[in-house]
Amino acid sequence: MQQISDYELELMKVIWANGDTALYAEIVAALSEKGMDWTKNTIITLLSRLIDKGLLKTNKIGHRNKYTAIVSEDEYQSSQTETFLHKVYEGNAKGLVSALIQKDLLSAADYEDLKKYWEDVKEGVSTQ
Amino acid sequence: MNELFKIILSLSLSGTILIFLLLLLRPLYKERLSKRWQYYIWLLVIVRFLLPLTPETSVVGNLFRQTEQRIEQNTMNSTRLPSADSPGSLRTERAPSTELVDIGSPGSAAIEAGGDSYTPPVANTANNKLRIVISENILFSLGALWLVVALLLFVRKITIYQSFVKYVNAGSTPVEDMNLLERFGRILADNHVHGTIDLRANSLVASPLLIGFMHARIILPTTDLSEEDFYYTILHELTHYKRKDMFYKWLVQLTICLHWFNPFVYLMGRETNRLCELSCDEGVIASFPEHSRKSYGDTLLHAISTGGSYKDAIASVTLNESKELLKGRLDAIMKYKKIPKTIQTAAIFITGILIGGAVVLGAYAAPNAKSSSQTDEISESGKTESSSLPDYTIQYEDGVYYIMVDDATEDDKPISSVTNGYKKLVLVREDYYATFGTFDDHDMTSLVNYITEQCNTRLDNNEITQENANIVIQAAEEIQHSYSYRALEDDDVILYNYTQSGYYQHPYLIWIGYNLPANAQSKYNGTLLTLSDQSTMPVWFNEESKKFMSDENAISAVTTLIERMKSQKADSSRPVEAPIITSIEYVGDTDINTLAEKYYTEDELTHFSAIFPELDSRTQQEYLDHMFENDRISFFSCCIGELEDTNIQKDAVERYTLKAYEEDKINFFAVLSGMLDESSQRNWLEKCKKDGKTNFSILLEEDDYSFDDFLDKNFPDADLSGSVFTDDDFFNSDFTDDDFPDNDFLDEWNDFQKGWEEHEQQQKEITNLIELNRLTKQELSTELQTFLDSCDDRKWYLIDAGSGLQYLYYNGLPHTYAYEPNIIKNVGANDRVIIDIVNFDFFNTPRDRVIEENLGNYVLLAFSYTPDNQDAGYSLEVTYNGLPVTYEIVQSR
Repeated sequence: MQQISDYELELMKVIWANGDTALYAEIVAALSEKGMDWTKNTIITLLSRLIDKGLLKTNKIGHRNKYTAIVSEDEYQSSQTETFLHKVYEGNAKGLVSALIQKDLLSAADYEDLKKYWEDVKEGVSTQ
Repeated sequence: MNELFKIILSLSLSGTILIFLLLLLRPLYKERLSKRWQYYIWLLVIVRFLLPLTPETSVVGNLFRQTEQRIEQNTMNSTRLPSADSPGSLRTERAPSTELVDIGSPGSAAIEAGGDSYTPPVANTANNKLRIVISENILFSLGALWLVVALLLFVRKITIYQSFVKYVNAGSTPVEDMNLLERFGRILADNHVHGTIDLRANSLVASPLLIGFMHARIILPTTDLSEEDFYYTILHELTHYKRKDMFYKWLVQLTICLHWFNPFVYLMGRETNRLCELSCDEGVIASFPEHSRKSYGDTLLHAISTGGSYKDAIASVTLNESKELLKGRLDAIMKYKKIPKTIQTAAIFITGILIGGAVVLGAYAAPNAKSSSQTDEISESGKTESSSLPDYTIQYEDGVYYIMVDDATEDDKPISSVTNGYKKLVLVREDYYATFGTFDDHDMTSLVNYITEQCNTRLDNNEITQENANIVIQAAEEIQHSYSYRALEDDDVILYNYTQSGYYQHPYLIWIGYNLPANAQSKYNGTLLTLSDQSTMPVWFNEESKKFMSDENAISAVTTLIERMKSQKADSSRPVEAPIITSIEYVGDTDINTLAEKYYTEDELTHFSAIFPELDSRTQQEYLDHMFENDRISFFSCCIGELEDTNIQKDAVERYTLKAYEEDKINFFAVLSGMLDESSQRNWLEKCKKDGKTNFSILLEEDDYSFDDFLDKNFPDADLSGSVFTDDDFFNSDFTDDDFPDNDFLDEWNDFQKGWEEHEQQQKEITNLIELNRLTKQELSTELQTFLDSCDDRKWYLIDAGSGLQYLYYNGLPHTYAYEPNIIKNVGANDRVIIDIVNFDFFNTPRDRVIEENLGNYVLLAFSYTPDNQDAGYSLEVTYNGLPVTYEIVQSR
């Protein structure tokens, strides 16, 4: 997946939050709520770049252009994590998790949840 | 093939002569006319090179036909001659040998007589036939060669351009600096660029450039530019974008490819390239104050030092081309001055000569029916000799001059014909009409020039026929003549624009015109009025009104009225000078509402419109509603502009525009749309286009037939917002019109704008209590001007001019300024109004407060404020760059 800039990510977030699809007017409104009153040219330029990068597609609803995310937020996050993991931890997931725990980015409760999730997955595999 | 090649040859010759004509006239226009004109005039040459349109008889066409005929005659004579005399010819055709035998017979005598100048006919015929076949063959091979080379060249240019675009794109990185992108976006918005343009950087390109037809991109060699350099660079490229210079360049390239054998087209290529940049520079700096021009020149200089080496020689639009050109451009920038009006007429004149030249030169037209062409020509020329224009009459109605040609009936007149304050010409023929204008009373003296110019442009676009143009121009001559005559002799109130000149001044209705021309004043009876400030003012009376000159009451009413008008129009560009009273009517003590009702029911428009401004605003609204519902368009158009409060007026205009649009009342829409401000006109135009209401959108189209408009009209899709076509798509796919995306963003954009307007409306509700206008001294009354002149320099004044209006004045500011009004509301106590005068900063001052032209180094603001709680009052603080200043409050009288 191609890397996208922070501002493009902001646009993607707006579209994801809108149910993976949004009209230009909706995007403007959502950005404005976040205090990002960008000019029309900026917004449309960034949207076109996202289309070029294969994260968005457009189709028409009447006369309007509707932007639809091709890549879901989950997919984007996991692919970004993977890239990050390989780049920084050279694929060592344990290192990443321990860093998260050390920095208190992962609370005890989160850890318990994850553990339960892990157990469930394992059980699911063994009962099959 | 041969005909095609002949056409091309004739076009080439024709175009070359036109180039010479243009170069010959160069000393006339080079330093005097705008670079923009010099640039677009080449379009005429290009058209001459490309379009084989030609009048029936043209210089080049004749030249070609003559040559052709000469060749043909040679063949004809030699082939036909023998068959002309039957005995001889029969024999010659049967057997040449018999001819030799029959020497001395009558037949052979005939042959000898007829074929005097010829060698024996048989051999001659064959010889000629051969010659023609050979020349046709040569022509054919030359034609084929030309076509192949032309095609190869053009294809090559396109592929080179494509690969250039590809390389530049591939090596470029999108600009991701939000600060830069936003600055870019704002410049686009400020310059009303509708499309979307991507901003990219590529260190390989030699200079900033604009590429792409459908999906435009600006590529910068570097983003490490100073704020000014960035601004100017973008402005320059945007000017190219808005002028669609890409299309122009490709048109030139196409011409060069088609006329590759003609050395002068390369000269043309260089010239247009150079002028493209020069005229672009000119467009950019036209809006600058003088000191910014130097900075713009600096930007050009910086640009050549930063660029890489990759350069497109064909058709990208770049900021700089070569050092030699750059020098010329810097020169032009520093020498730049606005072109005065008189010179512009010279431009029209030279354009006329050149267009005339282009038409007369003509081209070779393929003779379709050779046998009949001769007779056609005769009958055609016979027609032009005998053709006088058809008879017509001119009718004047509500600001429209109808030119009714005899074949027209009343039914052919357009329904919507009322203009608001402006006048126009409507040519009416059977099942046809065309509108020319608009103009107002001030344009009357140059009406013929103006109309002729319009006709010429429309002729060029093939929108009207030559005959119709001639009728309109002749009619315009008559109207101009009769107008100048009437303005001096006739006292028809229409001349004084009665919609604005009837007034109610108890107990009279007074019709008044002003700015009576000096040379007309002697024809009327003048008298001096003594105004309340003891100054005197001359007033003129005509035959009808002069009986009131001795009526003391009437004179006092006139005095009051003129004083009232003067104070109302104190800040308008047309002050009340040299008034003439055209009619006075005594109406006694009758209540104005009763009067209004009477005139309305009796259809007395001039009377009614005099009363209307005096009515209270609710009654005014009721009348307007009634007029709208009952289609009383003439009443409506006179009254809608008379609402006193500007906000109420604006609201009313917007409301009725919407109503007229929804109810399909095009005549009302025509009146109202002229009163909208520019941005809402643009919105309406887009809406009309989108809804397919062409008849409505025509009303909103600009009258100015410029090349840009031509492109807009003919390539409406070229300027799309958000279209995702790339150049590669443009060249590779066989797209149809349907493939072009519609204006997808229009809806979103309109929604967005609506939201924005609502937001602004809320803001306005807070600030509409304050009125603050920047003025020049010239806009003030002479008394106030004299007063200002007596003020000290470098001292702040608050001048109370009475009637609630105040002026803030300061003389001796070292630079231009902007201002920011600010109200701080204190509930229960006094409001504080703060006017901050700030240094005018080219980049950071909001555009709507920027002063376009240097108004002089003084601050002059007209100011009034109405606090919510009128009893409480308010305090006014003036700050200068945030620091409070003390001002002196003075009375102007």
